[in-house]
Amino acid sequence: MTSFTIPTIETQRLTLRAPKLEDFEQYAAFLSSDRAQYMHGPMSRKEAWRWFTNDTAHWPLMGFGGLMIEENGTLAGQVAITRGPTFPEPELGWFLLDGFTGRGIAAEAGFALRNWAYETAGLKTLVSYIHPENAASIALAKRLGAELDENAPRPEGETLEETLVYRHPAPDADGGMEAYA
Amino acid sequence: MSLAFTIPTIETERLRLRAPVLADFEHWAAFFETERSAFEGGPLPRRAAWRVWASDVSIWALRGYGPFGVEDRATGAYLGEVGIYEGDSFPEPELGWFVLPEAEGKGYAAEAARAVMDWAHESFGWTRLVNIISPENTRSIALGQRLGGVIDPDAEGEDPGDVVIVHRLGACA
Repeated sequence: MTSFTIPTIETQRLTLRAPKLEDFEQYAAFLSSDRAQYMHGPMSRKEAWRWFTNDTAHWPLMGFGGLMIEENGTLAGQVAITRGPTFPEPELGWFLLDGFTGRGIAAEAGFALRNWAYETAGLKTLVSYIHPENAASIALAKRLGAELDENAPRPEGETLEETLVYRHPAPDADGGMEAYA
Repeated sequence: MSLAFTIPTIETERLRLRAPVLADFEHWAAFFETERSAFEGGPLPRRAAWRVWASDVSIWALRGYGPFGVEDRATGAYLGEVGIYEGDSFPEPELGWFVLPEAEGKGYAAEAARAVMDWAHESFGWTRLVNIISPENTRSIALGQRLGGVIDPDAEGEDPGDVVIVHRLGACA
């Protein structure tokens, strides 16, 4: 038999943990809303299922994937490292459910998962693919220390008009965790 | 506090059923490029094919069962995928099978399917497992019946018109 583990990561305020079936309703609701416009949404429930299960399947297939963000036992969003078949490299992504924005939750989760990826999964670099008009995500990427990489390849089929590539600091350069230790 | 799950390895006379691995996807991408994938919603471009396949693999983590990659025990060659599938819109778990074109006609799907049914009964106590098959997929329908399953015209499939074949599991099946 083959054994797999999806980690639980605790931060100052949050618990990042494996996706469960019960999370899907809220996940699908988010992806069907206008807030998902920069995540190829809004999308149907069927499409949302593909996304949700993709983030989960990454764990046994690649050793990294999506974790749901919980604050005091309440689902707050998701942070994920994914590498779709058209991605040139793994990507750190995130979304927050309504009511959880504006408090640094995505940053706290992003720092934690990135740190885990570098320290435990052995990744050497990460990018975030962000729509040029997605000001909130661009601000978050910068807050995480990521910088615009104009020479980075984009996922197959995506153009400069729809995808900017922000490259995160390399493992040794990541000094951001202290703020959330 | 992490989530731990295991995917067993099952051996039959000629086959090894084991956890899906990333390399299996290349076979699926190739399958979804062809017309043969019409019964599975294809043809599909690579990114969409990935989402379909990854969706099925994820069931192991979400439900505790799922599809197995099937290898030739003697050569290690990938022959296809057989196991339990249960998407969001499924009425119940489903026994499904996929065999590479070059591996067809040798009874591999049947051998693997029998092993999965035995495993499901022993592991979960299930006494019932269905196939949910597109009505045009006569080959799969024939296999389901050859395995001893019976078409239930009243059972619910995933899409309208689906043929549902019911297998009884267990010693008295």
